[in-house]
Amino acid sequence: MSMELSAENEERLCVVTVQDRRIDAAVALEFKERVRQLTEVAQRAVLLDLSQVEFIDSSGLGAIVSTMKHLSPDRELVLSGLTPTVARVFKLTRMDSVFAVYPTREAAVDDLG
Amino acid sequence: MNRPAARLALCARMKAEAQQIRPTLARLLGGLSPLSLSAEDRDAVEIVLAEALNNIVEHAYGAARVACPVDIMCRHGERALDIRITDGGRPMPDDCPPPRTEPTPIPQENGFGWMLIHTLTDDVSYSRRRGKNHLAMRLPLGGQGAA
Repeated sequence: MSMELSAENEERLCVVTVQDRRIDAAVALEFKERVRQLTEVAQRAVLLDLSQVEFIDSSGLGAIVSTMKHLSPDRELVLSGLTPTVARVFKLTRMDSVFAVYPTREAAVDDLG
Repeated sequence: MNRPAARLALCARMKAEAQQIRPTLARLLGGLSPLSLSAEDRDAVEIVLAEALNNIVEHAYGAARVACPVDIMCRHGERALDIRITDGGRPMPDDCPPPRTEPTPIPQENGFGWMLIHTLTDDVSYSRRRGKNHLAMRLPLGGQGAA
């Protein structure tokens, strides 16, 4: 299984878009590695756009937390576009209070870009 | 002939391999479609099944050379879905599932799986019988209480 991810590096913000519908145990490791590669040149904030992701499991959530730790302390990881199921997993595990979550990518870019 | 939806029961079997989890979840959720579950209930079912199967593939089998079948049974009862999962992998440490832990806003990378299972289900029970793991969970449906 292979993950579809894309990144756009701008001066102040690196936007990583997950183009898969699931971040689960089958792809969590690959997700983590790919995001690390894509954000290597990121200077400041990294926005992870999850608007196409319909399902995330504990492995996917762990991979996002791991990415946040990897980027810190110099670069912050923020999220946008949580679909209902993904938002629920973040809420149930209280990880919604660990990340800055924007409703849309545009809102995040306006704020941070 | 349509059976009353309230008595729906279904079974699935998969090999204990990570790549089998997605198609198995899709089959099970497809099989539950006659129940016309709310989006919220459907999500809860998918999350709980996914986490239970992840644990089995990762911990009960882990590096085991032979991936034995995992059997999943779902039975719709009154305002709940009873889920039973049997596998032939290693027993759980101390013969019991990890205890319920309260979600905390501390970034961690592990431990979310059982947290989600305990939060979304009641009556989690585990037993080891005749060399097999038996996990049973009751998932309340149609209420806001579970969320």
